[in-house]
Amino acid sequence: MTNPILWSSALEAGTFYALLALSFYITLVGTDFFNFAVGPFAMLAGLMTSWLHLFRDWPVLLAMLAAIIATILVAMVTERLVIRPVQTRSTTSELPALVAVAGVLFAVQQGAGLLFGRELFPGVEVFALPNLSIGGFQVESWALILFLATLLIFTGVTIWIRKSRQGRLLRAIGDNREAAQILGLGVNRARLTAFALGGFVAAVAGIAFAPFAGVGFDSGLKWTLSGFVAFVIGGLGTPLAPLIGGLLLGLAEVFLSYYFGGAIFQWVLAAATLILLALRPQGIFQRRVRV
Amino acid sequence: MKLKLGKIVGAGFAAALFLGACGSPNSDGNASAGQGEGGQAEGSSEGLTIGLVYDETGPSSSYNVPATELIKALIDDLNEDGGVLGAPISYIEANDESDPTKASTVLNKLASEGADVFFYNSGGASTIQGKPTTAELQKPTLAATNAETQISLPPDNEFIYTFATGSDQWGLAYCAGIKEAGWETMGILMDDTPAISTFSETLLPSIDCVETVASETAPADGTSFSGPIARIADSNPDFVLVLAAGAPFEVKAHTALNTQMPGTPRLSTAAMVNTPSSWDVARDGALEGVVAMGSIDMTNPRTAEVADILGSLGDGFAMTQFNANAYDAFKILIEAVERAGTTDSVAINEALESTADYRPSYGLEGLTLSFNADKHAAPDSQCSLILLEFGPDNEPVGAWDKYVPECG
Repeated sequence: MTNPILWSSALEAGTFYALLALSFYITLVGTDFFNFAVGPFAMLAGLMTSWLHLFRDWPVLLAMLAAIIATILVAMVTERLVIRPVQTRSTTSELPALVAVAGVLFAVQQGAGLLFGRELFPGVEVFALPNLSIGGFQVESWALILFLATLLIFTGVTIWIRKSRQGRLLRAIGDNREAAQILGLGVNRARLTAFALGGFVAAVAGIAFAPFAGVGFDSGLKWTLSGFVAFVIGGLGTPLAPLIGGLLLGLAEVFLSYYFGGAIFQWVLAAATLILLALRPQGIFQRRVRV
Repeated sequence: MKLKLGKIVGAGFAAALFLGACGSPNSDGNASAGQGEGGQAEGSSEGLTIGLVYDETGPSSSYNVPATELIKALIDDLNEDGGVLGAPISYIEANDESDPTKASTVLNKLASEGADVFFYNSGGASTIQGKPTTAELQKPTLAATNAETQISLPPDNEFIYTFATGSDQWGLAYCAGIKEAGWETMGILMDDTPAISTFSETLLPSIDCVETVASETAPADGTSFSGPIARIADSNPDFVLVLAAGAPFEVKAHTALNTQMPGTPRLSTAAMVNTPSSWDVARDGALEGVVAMGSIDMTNPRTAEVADILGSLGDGFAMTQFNANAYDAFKILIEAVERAGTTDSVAINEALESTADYRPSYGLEGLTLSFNADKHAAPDSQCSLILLEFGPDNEPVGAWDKYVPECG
C-alpha cells in the first residue's frame, strides 16, 4: 500500500472512470435514461483528436475542439433521432430504447473504425505541464492534465446542476417527464442539453486519457462498462457520487490485482457489482427527497 | 421537407445501427464478396475463389487486417496480369474476431459461397478450432500469420498449413539468448485471450532454461497493469517476458514495465514488433532494450526484394513478419494452383504438399520452405527466428547480440 506507483495508477484510472460515470449521471439525471454510448463517445473524441493532429496535421487545440464538437453533435443526434423517437413509440417499456442505444454504441465504434482506421492511435497531449515529482516518483504531464480536467469538470457540473436554473430544470424534468410536460417546461430542450453535456464530459475524458495507453476504435465498450460500474458504485445522490465511484473502482482495480492477481480482478469486480446492485442498487450515495 | 429530411437521416442512422449491431459489414460470418480489377462474381466455377477468414475487429486485428489487405492487393495485382489458370481470382471474406466459437461457422459459410481455398489469418485458438472443419470440407487452408505449433500437427491437419516457425521452437531461440545473458529467473505477464492461453501451452514449456518466479495474467483490454506488474516486481526476476495476442497489450505492458521495473530486461512475443504503427503509442523511450520475436532481416536480399514489391503495392504495406508470411503464403498457393492445373481443392492440396525449396521473404538468407504429407509447417530450419532489439526511439535497431540464428 505504500508504493506510490500503485496509488498514482489508481488515481489515473479512477479519475477517468469518474468522468465516464459523470457522463452517465448527467444523462440519467436529465432524461431518466442510461446512455450506454458514453464509452464510444469518449473513444470517438480521443481517436478523432489523434487522427486530425497526427495524420491531418491540424493544430492540437483545433483538433481537440473539432473532436469535442463532433462528439457533442453525435450525442445530440443520438437523443433526437434514436432515443426520443423510440421512447415516444414505446412509452411502457425502456427496453427498446436501451436496445437502440446499444446499437448506437456499436455503430459509433464501427463508424470510427471505418473513418479513422482500426489501428491503435497514440493519444495527444493538448498542452504540456512539467512532471510532478512526489517522493522520487514522477507524475506525468498527461496525468496532471487528467486530474485538472476532472477537478474543473466536477466543480463546474456540481455548481451548474445545483445553482443554475437550467441545472435545476434538468433535474426536475429527469425526475418526472410527464409532470414537466404538463407544466409546459422545455422537456425536449433539456433532454438535448443533458445528452450534449454528457457528450462533452465523455469527450474530455477520452481526450485526456488517450495519452495513457493510446486509443483504438474498440476501446469504447470497455470504457462504457467501466464507467457504468463506477456509476453504480457511486450512485445518484450527488454530482460528486460518480467521482467517489470512479476513485473506488480505480483503487479496486489496482490494489485487488496487486494482492490477488490480475486474473481475479474481473471476477471480483463482477461479483461486487452484482452484490451492490442486489443489496444497494442506489449506490453509495442515494437521493434525498424533501417532503 | 423537414419530415422527409428527418426520415432520410433516420433511415441512414438505422442502417448504421444495423451495421454496427453486426460488428462490421463482414463480421460474424456475414461474408462479402470482392474481386480484383477484371475479377468475376463470387463462387465462380471458372476462376479460383479464395475465402479470406480473418480477425478484423478482435484482439489480433492489429496485424491480421494489414496482412489480409496485402493478400487482396496481391490478388488485384495478379488479376491485372490475367489471374491464374487464365482466369481472374475472386475472394470472399468473413470476420471471426479471433473467436473460436465462430471458426466453423465462417468456414462453412464461405465454403457454401464457393471458396476453393482459405486463408485463415486469426488467433491461434480460433484457427485450431477451425482445423477439423477444413479437413471435413477438404479445402486447403493457409494459416499465414500464425505460429501456433498445434495448427500444423495431427489430427485433422491434412488441409491446413503454417508458415512461421512454431511456438515450440521459440523457446530454443529465447533460451540461447537467455543463457548468453546469464539470466536465471523469469517473470511472465500475459493477456487473457484464448489465443495466448493456447500459445503459452506450447511456448512456456519450451523455455526450460530458467525458473519462472512470477506469472501474471491481465485483461487484454485492461486499463491499468500496475497491480500485476508490482506482483512481478516483488519476485525480483532477472527479466520479464510479455506474451500478447495483439500489439496494444504489448505496448501498454512495456510502457508500464518501463515505469515500474526500470532496468529489468524485457523479452516479448511477435505482435508489437511486427506492428510499426503501435510503436508510437509507447511513451518516449519505453521500448528501449525490449527484445522481441521477429523474422525480418533486411540484409537478406530476398527480403529487400519483396520489401520493394510491397512498397509498389501501396503505402500501407510495411515489411513485417506477418506481411512477409502472407506474401509467401499467397505465392506458394498460386504456384500450387498452377502445378495442379485446376481449381479443384483436393488437387491444390496435393500440389501444396509438393512445395519444396521455396525461398521466403523472411528469415535469414539460407532459409527455405517446404511441405509434404507429413510436414505442414513451412520452415525447413529455425533460422526464420530473429530476436530484434528496440532502441531509444522505440524502433527496432537490429538483431539482439545475445542470439545469432543459423540456418542448416
